[in-house]
Amino acid sequence: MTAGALGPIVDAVLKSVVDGDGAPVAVAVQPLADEQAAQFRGGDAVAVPDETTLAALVPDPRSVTGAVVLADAAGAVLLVSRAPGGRALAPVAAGLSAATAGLAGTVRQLRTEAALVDALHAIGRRLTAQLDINRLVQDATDAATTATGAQFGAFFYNLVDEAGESYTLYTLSGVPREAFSRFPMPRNTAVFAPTFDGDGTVRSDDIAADPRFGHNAPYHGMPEGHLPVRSYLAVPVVSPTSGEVLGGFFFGHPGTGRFTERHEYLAEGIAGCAAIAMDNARLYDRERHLATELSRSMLPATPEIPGLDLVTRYLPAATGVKIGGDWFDVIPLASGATAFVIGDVVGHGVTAAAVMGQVRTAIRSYALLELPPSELLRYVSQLTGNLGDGSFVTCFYAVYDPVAGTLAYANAGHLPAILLHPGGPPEQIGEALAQPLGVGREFPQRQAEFPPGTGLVLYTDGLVEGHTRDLTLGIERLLAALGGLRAGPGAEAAWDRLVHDLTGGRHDDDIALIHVHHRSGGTA
Amino acid sequence: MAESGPDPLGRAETPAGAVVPADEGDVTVLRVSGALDLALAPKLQRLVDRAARSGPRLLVIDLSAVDFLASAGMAVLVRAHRHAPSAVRVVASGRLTLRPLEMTRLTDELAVFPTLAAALAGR
Repeated sequence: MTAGALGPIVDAVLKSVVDGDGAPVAVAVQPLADEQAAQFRGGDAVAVPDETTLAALVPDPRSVTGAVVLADAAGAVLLVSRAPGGRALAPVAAGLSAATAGLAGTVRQLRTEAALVDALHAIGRRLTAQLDINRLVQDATDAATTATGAQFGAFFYNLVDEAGESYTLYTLSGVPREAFSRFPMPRNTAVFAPTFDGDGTVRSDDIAADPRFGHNAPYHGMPEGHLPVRSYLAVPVVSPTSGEVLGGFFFGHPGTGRFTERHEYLAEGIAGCAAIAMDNARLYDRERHLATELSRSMLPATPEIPGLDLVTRYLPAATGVKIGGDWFDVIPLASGATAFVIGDVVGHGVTAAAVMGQVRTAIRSYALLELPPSELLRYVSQLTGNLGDGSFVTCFYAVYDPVAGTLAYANAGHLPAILLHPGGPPEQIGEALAQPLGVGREFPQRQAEFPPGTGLVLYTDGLVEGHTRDLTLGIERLLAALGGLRAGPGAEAAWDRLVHDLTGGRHDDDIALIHVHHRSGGTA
Repeated sequence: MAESGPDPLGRAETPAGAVVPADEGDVTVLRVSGALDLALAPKLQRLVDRAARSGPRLLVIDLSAVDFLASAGMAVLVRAHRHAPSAVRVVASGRLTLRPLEMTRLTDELAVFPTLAAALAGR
C-alpha cells in the first residue's frame, strides 16, 4: 500500500540521485512494516534517520552512505544507499519534498473532501431509508457528533401526539442521559433562538465569550453542573416540504475553537438528510394512521336483528403493514330479510381502504334494492373492474329470509362460509362458487336451510393464516375450534378466546368475522 | 436494507420469498419461491412486465416452490393472463398453491399445469 501513495515520489528521488557522471546511484527501496513505520507517520514527509534508528532498520549501518525515510499517513519507505554517491540522497529527497509540499497538501485536502462527501452520502442513505423516527434521530445524532468531532451532541425535536399536543424530545450522543436529565429543556434564549426559529447555523469558537451568552435568568449562562461547553455549533432541521422547524442539532466541546467550516458543512448536510428522513417518517406514520382510521370509521354498528344473535369483529393487522382491506356488514332490509357481507380487498393502506369503501357502499346500495345475491355480485364485479387496474376483491354475500327460514348466498372468490348445525359437524358452504369481484362475470347462487339453532360463520383469511400459511390446515383448525363454540350468552368472550387461540395472539393480516346464530324458540 | 429491488440479473427477493427469471429456449420462466405475498407481488409484477416488453415470448410463472399464495399474488397472475391470454402459463400443484387458485376459480381462466415440464410442453 506504501508503494501506491509514495510510489511517484520514490521514483522521482531514485531518478534524481546521480553521481558526478550523471549515472544513477544504487539505492535500495525498503518498505517499512507497520510497527517500524509508526514512528515516522504524522511527522515530516522526509526524515533522515539517526544512527540508532537506522541500526534498527538495516544491518551494518556503518557502510550506509545515505538514508531517508519517506512517509505519509498510510505508511513509510526507507531509501538506503551504500554507494559513494549515496550522500546526495538526503538533500535530493528534502528538495523534492519541499517542491511537492504544496501538491501533497492539495492531495490531502482533496482526500479530506472526498471522505467528507463519502461520509455524508453514507449517512444520507442510511437516514433516508429509515422510517422509525426514534431510531432515525438517534442515528443522525450519533453520526453528526462523530462527524463534527464534538465531545457531545444533542438533537431536540418536536412531535405532535394523537391528541394534537406538541411535545419536545431529545436524543444525546457522547454523554449518558443523566448528564442532561436534571436540566430544563433549552428555552428560546438569544443563543438558542436562531436554531429553534430555523434562522440558520450558529458556530462559535467560544460561546462563553459570545455577546448573546449569559443574559437570561435564572442561570445567566449554563446551569451549574452542565457539561462545560466552549466550542459551540447548532444547526436547525427544517422540513423541506412544509418549511416547519422540526428540531435542532447542538454540538459542544470543552475546548475552544474546535469547530471548523468543514464541521459546519457536515453538520448542515446531516441536518438536511435528517429533515428529509423525518418528513418521510411522519408521512408514513400519517398514512398508516389514516388507513386505520378510514377502516375503523367505515365499520358498521351491528344492528339488533329479531331472532338472531350476532357476534362481529374487525381486528386491524397487529403489525400495521397490511391495514385496510377487510370489512363486514350486516344490513337489515325492508322486506324483513337481513344481508350479511364479508370481504377482503387485495392491497393495503389508504388505497385498499378507499377501494373497500367504494365496494362496500355499492354492495349496501344494491342490497337495499333487494337484488338477489347472484345479480348483486355481478353488478358489483363490473363496478370493481372499473375502479382501476387490478382491483381484486373477494366477497361472500348471504341473505337470511326469516319467513322461509333460508339463506340465499353467492361467493366471489372468498373463503367458504361455515354452517353450524345443532348436534352435527360444521359444514362448509359456497366453496369455489365463482371468481373474485373485478375478475368474475357470473356468480352462481345457492340456498341453505337456516332453521332455529343453526349458525353461520363468515370470516377473512387473517383468522386461518395466523399459525400456518397452509390454508387447508388453517380451515381445519377453525372447524375443530368451532365444534366447541356455544352460541348465546358468553359467545362474545368465547370468540375472543377462539381468535386468540387461532392467531397465537398476533396476526399480521386484518381479521373480519360475523357469527350469526338463529336463536332457538326466538321470535322470527 | 433487507428488501431490495431486482438486481442486474433480474432477481427479486423479499425476506420471505424470491423470484428468479430464467430462459428455457424461447420461453421465459419466472421461478417463484417462498411467500408470494403483498411484499413479493409487486416485484413479480415488474418481472412479468419486463418479460412482456421483451417480445411475444411464452411466459411461465412457476409456483412449484411457493409455500404461501396470497391474493395479491393471484392478482398478478390474473393481470399477466389478461394482458396476454395465450402467452402465460402457471405451474401450480398441491394444496398450498392450487387450492387458493381453485377456491377463487382462477383455474377456470388461467392455464395451470402441474409441472414445469408440462407447462413448457403445453400439455
